Amino acid sequence: MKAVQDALARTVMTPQQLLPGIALIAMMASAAAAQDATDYVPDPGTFAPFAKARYLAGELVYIDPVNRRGAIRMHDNYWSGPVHYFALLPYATVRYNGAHAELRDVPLGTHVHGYFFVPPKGEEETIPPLPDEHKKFAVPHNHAISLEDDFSFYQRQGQSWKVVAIDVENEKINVEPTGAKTQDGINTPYTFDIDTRTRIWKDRRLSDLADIKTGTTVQLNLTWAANWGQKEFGIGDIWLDDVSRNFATEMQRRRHLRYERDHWAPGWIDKVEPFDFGGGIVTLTLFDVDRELIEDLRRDKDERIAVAVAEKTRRTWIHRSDRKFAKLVEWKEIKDPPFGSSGVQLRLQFVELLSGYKAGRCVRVKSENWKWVSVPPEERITSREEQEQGARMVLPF
Amino acid sequence: MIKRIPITAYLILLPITVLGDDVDSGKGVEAFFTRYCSRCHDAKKHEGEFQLDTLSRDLTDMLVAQRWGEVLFRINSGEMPPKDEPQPSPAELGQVAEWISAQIDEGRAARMAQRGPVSHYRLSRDEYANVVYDLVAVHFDARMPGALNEDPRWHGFDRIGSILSLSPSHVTRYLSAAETVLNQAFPTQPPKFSKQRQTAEAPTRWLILPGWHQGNINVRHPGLYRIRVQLSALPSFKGRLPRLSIWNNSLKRAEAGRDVIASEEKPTVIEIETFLPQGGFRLTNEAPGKLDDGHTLGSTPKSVTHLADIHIVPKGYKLFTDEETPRPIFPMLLVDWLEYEGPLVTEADQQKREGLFPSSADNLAEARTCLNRFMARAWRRPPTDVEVGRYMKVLESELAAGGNSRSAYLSAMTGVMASKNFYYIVEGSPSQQQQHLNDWELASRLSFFLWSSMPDEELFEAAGKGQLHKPDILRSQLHRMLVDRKTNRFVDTFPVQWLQLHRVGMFPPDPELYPDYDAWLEQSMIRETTGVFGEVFSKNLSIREFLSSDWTVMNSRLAMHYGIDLPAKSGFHRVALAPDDHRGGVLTHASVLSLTSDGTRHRPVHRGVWVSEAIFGRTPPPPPPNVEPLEPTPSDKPKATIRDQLEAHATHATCASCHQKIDPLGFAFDNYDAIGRWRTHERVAGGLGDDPPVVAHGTFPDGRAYENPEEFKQLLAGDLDRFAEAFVDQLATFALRRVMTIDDRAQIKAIAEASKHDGYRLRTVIEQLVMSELFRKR
Repeated sequence: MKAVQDALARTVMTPQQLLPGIALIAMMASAAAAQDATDYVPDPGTFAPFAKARYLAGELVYIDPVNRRGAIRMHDNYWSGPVHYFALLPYATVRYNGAHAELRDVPLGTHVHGYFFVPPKGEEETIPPLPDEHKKFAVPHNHAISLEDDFSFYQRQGQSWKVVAIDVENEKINVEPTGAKTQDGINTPYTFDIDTRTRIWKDRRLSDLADIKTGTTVQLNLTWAANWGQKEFGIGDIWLDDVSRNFATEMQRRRHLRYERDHWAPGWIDKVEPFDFGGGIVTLTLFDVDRELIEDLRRDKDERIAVAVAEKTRRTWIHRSDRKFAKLVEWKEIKDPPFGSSGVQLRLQFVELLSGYKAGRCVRVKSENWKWVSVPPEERITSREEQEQGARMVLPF
Repeated sequence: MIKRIPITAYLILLPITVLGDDVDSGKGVEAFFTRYCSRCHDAKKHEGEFQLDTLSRDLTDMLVAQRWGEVLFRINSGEMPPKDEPQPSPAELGQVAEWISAQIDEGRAARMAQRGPVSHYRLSRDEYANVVYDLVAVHFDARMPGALNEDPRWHGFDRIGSILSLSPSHVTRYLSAAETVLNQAFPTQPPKFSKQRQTAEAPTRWLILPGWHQGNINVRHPGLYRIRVQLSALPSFKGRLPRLSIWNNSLKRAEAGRDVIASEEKPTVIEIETFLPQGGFRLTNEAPGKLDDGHTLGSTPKSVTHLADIHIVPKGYKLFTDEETPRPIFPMLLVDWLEYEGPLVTEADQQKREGLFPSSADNLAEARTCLNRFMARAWRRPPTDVEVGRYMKVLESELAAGGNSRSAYLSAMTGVMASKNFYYIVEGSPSQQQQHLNDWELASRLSFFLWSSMPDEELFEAAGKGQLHKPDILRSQLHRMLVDRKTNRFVDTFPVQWLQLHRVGMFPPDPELYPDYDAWLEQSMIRETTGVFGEVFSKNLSIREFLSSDWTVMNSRLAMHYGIDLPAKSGFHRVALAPDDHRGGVLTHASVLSLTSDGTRHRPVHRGVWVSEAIFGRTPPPPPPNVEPLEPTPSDKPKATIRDQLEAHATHATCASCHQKIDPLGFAFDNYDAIGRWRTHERVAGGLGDDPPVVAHGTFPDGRAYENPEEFKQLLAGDLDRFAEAFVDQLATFALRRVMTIDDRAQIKAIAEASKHDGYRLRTVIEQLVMSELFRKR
């Protein structure tokens, strides 16, 4: 009991206790400063090296799910600065609860970890500049290659949390990292808010505070602290056992599979070899998606692989109509693909080619076995004007 | 595979050969029948109620020929002789089968050539159309659906009298055609000449991609029209030319067209004169390409100002390469304006109709004169008074019934054209035995041979004077006719029939295997062959050029198909060939190589049969029944060429005897795929390993060996006398409208020999034929 009290006593933040958080902020700031000088500019049509990306984290406060854009309120300018608007690169991955996800799957208020680049060449206008009064806060790295919730971020890197102490009365929980420690993010003991909004998961059901035992290894998703303190976090969800974690991952995975089967697997075109009598060979690379989708495509042996043209936002026109069918000529897998790539390259033979089949342009690929569905009207592009509108983010505030 | 006794059985029971060299005479065959057949099929046993020794050997009798066909079938199928009877050797079997086949063929030919006191040779539908044009200057599309029935062919020839029968359907259609033609030739009101112009509203230009249509040409009166189009015509990034064509909306076909090339900055004006039936037409681009998906089409521009400014949304068709300076993927037409005028009536056309229609049919004397003139030309001989009187009665009865003079006279004319004397070439007389053609018949034979149509006035005049049969007159008329433009019909028709080019595209190539194949390529293939024939004809070259030459006639499309670098320009041109081109001579024309394929694979046996028929003038016996097709290579076996499979197939005794003769004639062309492209490896679906290399060497049945198609062609060309005889045989079949028989062989040989002194120049061969006894005989 004394040990718990001692641990809880540490939840009262002294300047010394704040040091790790300050150190994190300082690290990110220094990292940002270091990278400012060597900002890597991605080439459109090429997978940017993940190692060159800049880490930024904060609370997801706005999303444009159709165009895969959003905004986070970053740690280091939480109180005074504007939100940080971003666009996802075409091959960017979003992960939620340990599985592939769409931006729309991540609830607003979720604390997320992202890796960002400055805009690719020719796409500098995608995120409009901030108003003059906010320009001093502007971070040029506004094209994300990866965005994850805490669950995905820490679990992917092998880091979990061990419950050190819990103070129900004061709604605090103290945890310490266990397993491999992440380089970015929080990798020191930390005290978070835990209160009635926290969803506690055990087995395949919601549980309650009484089930949280010290010494338990957990994963958690953070949100902002109740008093909106700088670098203070509350826990939105906490998973107490493997069953609950696997269940969460599986549910998100199913959601992802359904979404991609409806919207088709994303990828981009590497090469187009037209025939002057119609059709041609198109080589394309699939982006990183759940392997089950890749296996669906691998099973396609006839000539009914459909390929719809898409924008860099992965948004299609009317994909069930604006597509052409192809026959698989070659299936190639590369080892250690770059981040964002599935490593699967297809050579497809078409009888007709669309104007949007162009090296570097995005497409969506349908397995013959997937059902034909129509995407909702707000997701479709139906005109050149809508295409142009979708090329730039409209800032909501 | 044929159900036969295993070959080992033949080895054990190897009998003494009974045939020897007496096969041709039939003596050896009789010995064969005695030894292997008569024991059961004689008068005593009469097995199966069939007696062979008394079966007539006169196969001109159809019933006899049918019974011999049954004998051939039983032998070929291995049913006879029965297994428990003495067995002949494979060689004996082959020789007997060939002898029976030859007898049946001879019998058939003789039956087809049998001539009574009067012979009737119906016009083919193409000849009908030509006659109509030469008679009253009306273009009648006999091939239009619903016009005239398709004619049956015998070995490619569609003018063999004995198979051009007449059915009630023919009569109905002839009547309908006559009404159509005459109404067009002698309308109530002359068709109003009109000239129309449509523009794309500059600076906008109509974009016409392959299969697209723009502009409207409305033809109210069928006839000759002149169409002028200002356009730019850009080749594809591979150099394929666009083809501007006039598209018939209702028949879904191009009526006329031309390859065009003109830069975007410097448009050109193209003029096309063509006969158009009534209906709607549009401009189209006949180059290949599939650009017709309605949804995608709706997102692709149909007009442009400058190609550099064109914007295509991603869901539209891809039209340009992704290069820094984009080039058109497809051949492209950019049209500024379209003009069309017609119907055009030339002075020559007017002259054809002069004197055929009276100023008033109420004037019966004038009507009779006109009708007499019309009948003489339509029937290609002077009508008798009785015959004219018969049609005058039609006219008079129509007038009596209250019909107006025009319609009454047209009824009489329709009757003339619906008469057998119009659509039949009639030779002979029921009242006298006539061994030779009279002058009128000779005029028709000559004109239908060289012009595929009726004689002209000068020929009629020579016939009318009774002088045409005189050698000097006949020769002079022949020389005059050979330089007439109407010989284009001979140039376009004879090679198609001789070489059976009607089979090109009969089995449409598999679009999966040959995605590049298109309608214009198919036409270009045929036009290469007719173009080569035309060149040999116009330059009076030796028929040796058909077997081997260092030139051909091709257009840009065909050059692309052959992989020959030819500067992009429109039209067909004589092109010099290098040895590396692997072309020259009709045997390596894509037309011939594809007509002897099945759309998927090349067929060496079909190619061998074709060479045998077209070049040697010999038709091999038909394959026996129940021959199993070649199976695709199993997935667990090494890839095998068709030759490998055939050679395995030909180890069977009853197959081997024929295949040994046929296959070497086809294997020589294994370097050419099913659409006539050169290759060094044969593409084999399924099986293990790489595609096997082509093996194109072989040995003629007489032992002469060749290593490749070029050597094969040289061997053929080295035996020109043999080819010349076969060529004369084909030419005579075309000219005389009947199958040549054994009775004709001596004369055919003589014609060929008479042509030899001049190196077998084509016009010399034609002249020798026309001046021969054979040509003048009934």
